Amino acid sequence: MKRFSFLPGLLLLCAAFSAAAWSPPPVAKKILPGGLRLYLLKDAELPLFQASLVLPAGSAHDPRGKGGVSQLAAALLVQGGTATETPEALDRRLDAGAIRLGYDIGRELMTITVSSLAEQWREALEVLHAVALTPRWDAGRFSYVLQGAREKLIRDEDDPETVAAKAFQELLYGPSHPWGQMATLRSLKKIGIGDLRAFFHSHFFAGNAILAVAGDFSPKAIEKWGREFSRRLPAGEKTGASWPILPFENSGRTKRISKKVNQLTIAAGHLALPRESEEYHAYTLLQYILGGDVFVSRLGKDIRTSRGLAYSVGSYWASNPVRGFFKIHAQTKAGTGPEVLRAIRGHLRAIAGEKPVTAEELALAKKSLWHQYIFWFTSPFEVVLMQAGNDLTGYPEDFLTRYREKLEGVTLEEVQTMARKYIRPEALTLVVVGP
Amino acid sequence: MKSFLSFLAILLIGWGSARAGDLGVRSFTLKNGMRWLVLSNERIPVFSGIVMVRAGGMDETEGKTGLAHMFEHMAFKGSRRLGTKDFEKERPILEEIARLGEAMIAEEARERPDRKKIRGLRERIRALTRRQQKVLEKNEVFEIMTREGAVGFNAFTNKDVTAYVASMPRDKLDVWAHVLSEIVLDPVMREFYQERDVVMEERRLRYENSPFGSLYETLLATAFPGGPYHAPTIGKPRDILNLGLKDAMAFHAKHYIPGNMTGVLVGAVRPADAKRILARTFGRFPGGKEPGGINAPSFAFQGERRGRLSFPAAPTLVLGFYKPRAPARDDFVFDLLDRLLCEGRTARLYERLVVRERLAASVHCTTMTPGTRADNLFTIFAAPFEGRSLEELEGALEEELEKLPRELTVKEIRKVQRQIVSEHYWQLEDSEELAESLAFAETVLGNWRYVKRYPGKMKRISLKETVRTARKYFVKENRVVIYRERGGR
Repeated sequence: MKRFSFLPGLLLLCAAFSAAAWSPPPVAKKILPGGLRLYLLKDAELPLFQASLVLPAGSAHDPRGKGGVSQLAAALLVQGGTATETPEALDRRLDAGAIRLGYDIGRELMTITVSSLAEQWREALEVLHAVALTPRWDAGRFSYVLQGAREKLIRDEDDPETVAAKAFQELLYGPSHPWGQMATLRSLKKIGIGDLRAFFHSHFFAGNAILAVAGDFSPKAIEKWGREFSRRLPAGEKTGASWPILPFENSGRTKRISKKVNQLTIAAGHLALPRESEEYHAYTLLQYILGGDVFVSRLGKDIRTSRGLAYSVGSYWASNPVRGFFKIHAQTKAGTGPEVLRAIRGHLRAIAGEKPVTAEELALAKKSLWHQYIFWFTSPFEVVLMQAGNDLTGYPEDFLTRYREKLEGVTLEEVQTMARKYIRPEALTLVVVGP
Repeated sequence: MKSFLSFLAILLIGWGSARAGDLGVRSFTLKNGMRWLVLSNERIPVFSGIVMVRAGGMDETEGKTGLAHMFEHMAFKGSRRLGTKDFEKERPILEEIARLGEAMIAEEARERPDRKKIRGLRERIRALTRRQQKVLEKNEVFEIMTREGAVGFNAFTNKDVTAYVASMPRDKLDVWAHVLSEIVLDPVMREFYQERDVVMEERRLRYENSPFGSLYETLLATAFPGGPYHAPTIGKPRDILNLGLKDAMAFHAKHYIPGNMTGVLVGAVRPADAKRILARTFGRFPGGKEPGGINAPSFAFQGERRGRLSFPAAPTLVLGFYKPRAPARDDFVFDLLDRLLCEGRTARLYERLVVRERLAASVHCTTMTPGTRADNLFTIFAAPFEGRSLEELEGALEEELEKLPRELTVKEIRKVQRQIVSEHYWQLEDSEELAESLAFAETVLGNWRYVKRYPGKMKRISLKETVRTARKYFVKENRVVIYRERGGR
């Protein structure tokens, strides 16, 4: 085992800073010949290595009517073997070397990640190389991932929270919109291995990807490897995928889904801001005050602490390029559903004007989020992925470095204006799952 | 005993000789008997702290399950100093609520409870609570912590322990210690009867309406017909509604003794500062007689137990095998068996049943269900693909377990041992997890240094020993099988 000076606990690239002067660890960014972007964050604290290929190839990019293509493509890439290795042989080699190869898929991004002990970095990268350049498209494994995806959809129906979340998303954006389309048993039936190949070929090229590396490695060696990789990747410009921004219009649909359970699951909300918005931080504070923390938020303090109606209740907002949304969730026994719904509507009316955000609420929210920020950076592996993800999805370049400053700069008037402008209690999209 | 021990073990592998002794952990004991561990790392200006009490579901009595878990909820209600404008004004109201609560519980327990009387008592408790609200500083605990920069302020309970956690900026150790010492050592059980309603909602969410939760609950009830493992930590519904303020206070008095708990701080903390601050805060509280051990009945090798439940969800089964708890030798071997069977792409059950035969959609193992302070279960949860049956799946699992002793190779064992090494470096990244694991080793096993023996023990496990353990425990008469089938509840 190579040099290992053990300093346990939180890993961070920078030297010790006092709390006040602390700033996030810098990620080294470079564009390689061929177009691949290379992001490096070295941290030799533990003998670990991780490399991810991050691309704007999430489910928002699924062809219309074929929800699930991106997820299946990612699954097959990491489980389907390569031109030179059968799926079984690759599985054996990975396990024998304790090398992990996995994927993550969201609306906007696909991430293929390989990780290992630091001394195995070359072998780990070689796996990534093979998977990204010469996937096998094995028919047997395709049928396996397809069956797995089918089974997951069937079992999703067993979980009221998942049912509510999916129904809410679909209802809010519409089933054909890139943000509302879901993988369904029907859409899976229409997907063949050809769809996966086509998706792969239209997304996996140099200019469309970021190779994000963190851990204990030699930047020189990785850059050398990266240049070679970039040259081999197919050429091409960034996919110009962009979607028109949705107007802030909320039609307020309701959906009731029957389930034989003794508790109601509620999802209520509507559209919010598009990602590139000056009002981002003010809106974030607003949502935090409304339902961000179950013990200090308006929703939590009332519905859980005061009235004991729910164990889990809160709200959050998610931004995206077209227009984000906010969502309140709550679970309560069937008999108290109407009371909880009334309470939710009441809180929305209150925050929207009847009882606006107070200076005290804003001060506490700012303090809380200001402190939470530092914890985004406890792991170099997460930091480098966060940076890559932000850069691929339209966040301003200084989003991370100026986050606290912008948070501090939000005024009470701005937050109250946000609430008046962007909270519409009468136009809620509402999903209720239960008896 | 997989997760926390093995990763701490890794601290030794490749450890520089200079600090071989104590892994950089400084330990000390306060005058009242409370143990503290401090692991300094100045690289980020925050620390993670945990207080772990050796009081969990195990320590409850029959008819009062769910009591330990209530403390998780009570923690945030405050103490005599926190969460109230004037405790002297509040005290008589609390005492009256306690008295009425006892009367309500006594009435509920009767053969034919007088519903009108119970409603009346409930209403009086509600009215008193409304009076109490006027004297309260609601959410003071949470607001203080949040304002001072706490992140991840929470509590959790399981069969073995109850723990209170929070991470804070480095210059807030005194706030952390003040608040946590107050809520752990001097809690006031405010809104106790209301909070039972919140717990009932939690039960609905996590058990009654949860495919996994309901299966888990049936597993425990079937595998442990009596004793401390019989019900899940959250408690049985009747028991929860049967819990009173006085029960909680008695439980606290018996179990929340400084000598019965461990605190751990990981991050930007100077041991000298910590000692001073902790003596001033946690050290305020007097020591006491530590509670005795628990005698848990054994149900091992008494013949197969089977159970079934109906639930509106796709089917799943669980196989459980009784096994000894840590630090028994076999417990280590089970960690190995867990990985051989369930972890990684070429784990035996995954490779055969999921990938090759497409019989199981998922297979998942655990090694210390539901707790560690008594002998427990090794479990295999498996879900069939649509169209395949639970019977078929059980048959295949049985076959694989039966084959294992004959087919197992040294190569497989080496593979798993390498995986253990790799995985646990990743676990070291997270200071909250690290603090929790150190606390658990100290609190449950009596000595965090126990972990030093772990890597050596895991490395020394031989093929022969693994085979012997598998043959001994993976037998029908040591087995529990539960089917969850699709249907109404």
